[in-house]
Amino acid sequence: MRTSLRTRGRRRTRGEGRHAVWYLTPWGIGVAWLVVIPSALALYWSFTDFNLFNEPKWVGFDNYANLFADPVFLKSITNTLFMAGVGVAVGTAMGLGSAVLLNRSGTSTTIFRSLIFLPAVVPPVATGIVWTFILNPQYGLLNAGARALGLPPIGWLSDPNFAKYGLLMMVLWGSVGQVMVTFVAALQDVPEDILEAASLDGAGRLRTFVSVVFPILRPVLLYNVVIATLFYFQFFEQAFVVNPTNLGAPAQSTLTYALYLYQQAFTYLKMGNAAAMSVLLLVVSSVVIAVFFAINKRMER
Amino acid sequence: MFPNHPEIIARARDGRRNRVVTRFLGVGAMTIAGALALAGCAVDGNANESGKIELTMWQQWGGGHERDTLKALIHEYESLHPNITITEEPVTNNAEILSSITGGNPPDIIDLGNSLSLGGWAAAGAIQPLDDYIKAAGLDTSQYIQSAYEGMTVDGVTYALPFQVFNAGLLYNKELFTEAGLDPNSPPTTLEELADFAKKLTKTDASGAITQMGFLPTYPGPDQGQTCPLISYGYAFGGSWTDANGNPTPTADENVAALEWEKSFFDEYGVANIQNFIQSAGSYLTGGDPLESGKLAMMFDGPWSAAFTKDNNPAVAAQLAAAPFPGAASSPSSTGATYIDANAQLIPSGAKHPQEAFDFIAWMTTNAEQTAIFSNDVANIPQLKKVPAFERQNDPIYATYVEIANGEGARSWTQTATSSTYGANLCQAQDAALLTGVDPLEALMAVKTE
Amino acid sequence: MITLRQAEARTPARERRRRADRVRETIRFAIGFALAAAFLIPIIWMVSGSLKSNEAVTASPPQLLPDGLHWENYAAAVTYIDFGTYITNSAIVTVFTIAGTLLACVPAAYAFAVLRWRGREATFGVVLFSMMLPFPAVMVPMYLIFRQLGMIGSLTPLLVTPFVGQFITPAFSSALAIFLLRQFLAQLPYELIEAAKIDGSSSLRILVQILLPLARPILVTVTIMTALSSWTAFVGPLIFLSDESLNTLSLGLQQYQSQHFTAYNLLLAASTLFVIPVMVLFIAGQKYFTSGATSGAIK
Repeated sequence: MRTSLRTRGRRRTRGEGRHAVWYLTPWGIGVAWLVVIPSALALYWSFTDFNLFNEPKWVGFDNYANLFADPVFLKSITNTLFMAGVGVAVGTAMGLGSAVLLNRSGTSTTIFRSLIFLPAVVPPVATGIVWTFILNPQYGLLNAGARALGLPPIGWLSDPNFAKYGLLMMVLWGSVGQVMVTFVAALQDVPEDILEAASLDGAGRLRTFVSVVFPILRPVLLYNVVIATLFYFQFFEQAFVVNPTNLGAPAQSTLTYALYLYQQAFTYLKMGNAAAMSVLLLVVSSVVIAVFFAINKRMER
Repeated sequence: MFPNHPEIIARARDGRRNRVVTRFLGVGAMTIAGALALAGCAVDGNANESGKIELTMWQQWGGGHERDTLKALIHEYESLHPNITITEEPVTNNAEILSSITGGNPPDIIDLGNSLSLGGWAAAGAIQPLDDYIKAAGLDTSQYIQSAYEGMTVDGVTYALPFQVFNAGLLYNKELFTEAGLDPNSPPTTLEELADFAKKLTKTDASGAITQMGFLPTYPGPDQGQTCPLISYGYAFGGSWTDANGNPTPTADENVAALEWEKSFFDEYGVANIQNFIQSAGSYLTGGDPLESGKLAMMFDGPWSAAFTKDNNPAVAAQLAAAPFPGAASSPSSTGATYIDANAQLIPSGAKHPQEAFDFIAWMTTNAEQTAIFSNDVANIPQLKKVPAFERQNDPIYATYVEIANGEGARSWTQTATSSTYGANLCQAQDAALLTGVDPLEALMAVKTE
Repeated sequence: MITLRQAEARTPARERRRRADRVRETIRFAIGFALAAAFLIPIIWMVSGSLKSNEAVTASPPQLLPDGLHWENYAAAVTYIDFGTYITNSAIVTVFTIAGTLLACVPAAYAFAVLRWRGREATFGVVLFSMMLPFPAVMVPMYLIFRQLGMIGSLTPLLVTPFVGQFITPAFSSALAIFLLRQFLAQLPYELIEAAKIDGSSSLRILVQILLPLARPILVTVTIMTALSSWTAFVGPLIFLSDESLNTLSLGLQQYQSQHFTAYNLLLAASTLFVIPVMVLFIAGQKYFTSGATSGAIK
């Protein structure tokens, strides 16, 4: 029997610890210098009034209190949560759906899968630009299609009631393919004989999917949901590109948490507020990550 | 976009030999040395043995023909001052400019596209007060159009010099007036009358869709990169957006009335109908734009819209006329109300050659010939009161806008530490009230003013 | 002509099922085709827009076909902004990011996968955690630290971060690179190393001479992913560079707008030029992006 490096015994070899230190030095320096220290400093700055030109002045919990009294901050949270909710649900469903649909070998399905995956490699900035030309109510392609069907044009990026959906279209365009690929891989792990047994049992396709296939997909599903959620927590690029000089327009409907954090720091120089927002994001993300690993561990068992 | 699933990629195994990676590793070993070398040395691009001074200028005119005009202006200055060279670069993002200042690596001169950020930057100490330079140079600031110049000051301290003014007035289509039985030579004199005229000038087809619009209160507006019209309409009602101490007053009666007046158009014609009308038309400043294609009878905008119409649609341009924007019936003295602003020429804190930078912006903003060349080219109006070579002045439309700019109704945004947040949030409140049905007073009450 | 056996096989039930299968396959193909076409449209629209005149790009209603092929847009696009400078900057950043990521992450992954030491699992938890950490949570303090060091307004922050294993974008990060490399190294046969050790090879030698040649596929994957994500990175350059002459291409694309005018067709031409290298990389290395999808089992 072959032993892989992962499965061999836990016995330590003398001196390997010392070697490990060397191999880990660059990364270790980076973690300390650019993650741990900054996070600690962010925590400190979040309790100060600081605009880069003054010395940080201790203000206690003022920044946090101001943020939670700030309607724009709350709006950025609801915007982000809304987009995360809709985006994660629709993105995962579309990814899973297209994976089930295209879980085949054969030239045509392979090409289809490649084409659906292709937008994943398009730079987010280019995505934002190109989609402006699709979603624009005046010269956009989507509204031309709508008009041809007799539907009224929609301001996918200029109408506050629709702008979030316009942004979601951009994100989904780039991410559905990636989600699909993970599900396709997982589907190929479903053993043929189990499927055959189920079909001999006379189980319908839907029942087979729910009772046999789905449990196998669950870890991948969880992973996709968590990764997508964390993506929306940091959603920035496309939202920035569609309104670079008027972030969050129209009517703050596209102001994401990350955009507002950026604005606080780099447009208004409110480093105290920005640091507080960083700390909050760090805490919430940590909770999400911790829950993910906990569930994942239980599923493995 | 999303990270790829680790396990899946980890299994992307392939027996094919691939030399790319090993080559990259080699390159890596060589380049890390380069990285450290680069990180270690800060190059001072401004030092020069021959006594020549190199100024850097970041400008927001963009990369098009405006940039060529600016380059010509710089070239002229360089030929007059052989010891100075100026490198200009287009920089669109204000946060990036600010970051260069806070990062200690700013340019010498900044040509900002508008003055909105000025108050906040001045309060933070990111830009230099110019009063001492102005005094030392004996610069006469009364030669600037005063309302535009006031927008460059914070609490009475000058932080920038204006260059190329933009303001708004009423552009209207005489032919459409005649068709609707209105006198083409008497534009509306009150906001109420304007709304009345607009009703007569609006046409719908059998299905109820609008085919011609009398007036669109929010077009062009911020969606097209223009200033938020609500601010001007507040002035037209005789209001002000700040009190005597510079504190924001978003919910002053006149301001609420202005937003309600805007909303009355959306109530009258329907949000969806108005949106459809705008969205079915071509883009702003192109031949398909509602005004330029003769489908919009009255528009609140700057003179450049008329200039672009002349290029895109001469037949419609011949029918266009301009007038000061009317005040509300309750405030007849507010006729000619408009925001006024200009490109702000300023010197960031930490600029390496502030005196030379000031000499240049003082020359640039007071040289009538160069100003005229620029104004003629970019279709704005000059920041100086007297500019004989400004040819567009012979166009009655431009003459009207010059008059509006010098009139009582032209007001610049009051610069305070929080004025840019305030201005941006006002505009978002306007959108919320007009497009999502929030009550105007509530929308303005929700405006964050700090 | 129907032979007896074929006729025999055509029992009604079977026939029905076969027909149903065929119908199902046709529907499957149709939906797959429609989906793939829909996902391709924006790219086609970008390329077609890049060949239109500026009036045609913003015409309402939009023109499906270009008004002639304006190839000159491409020449105009690269002179309208300092395209050459920006693409050079992007290339420099990308090369450094790849080099840095490999130099920092390969040894780290080796330490996690092969060497045995106290606290290994706990330390690896830090990798897992930072793999998922949103960049905005640390970008402001990172900016402040680089500012203290006087590195804002230079390429240095972008060039240095990968060498200390802190390259972070939404799509890919150093931590993810460590994770992938460690997964791969950990499943190599242990006998390889045991044998080398008996020969008296040092651990560095084992890594370079034995493991790395075997790890080529994963190294290629990591290289491609790093190249892609640093080429397309936006937020890091946005906050660290703050000097137009240092702009990478993703930032430079903002400059096609001026006060009264946007050169939309040039913007699309430049976007196309920006996307082309990525597309080439994708087509050449597609299996590294997706090949896991067609073979083996998860875990």
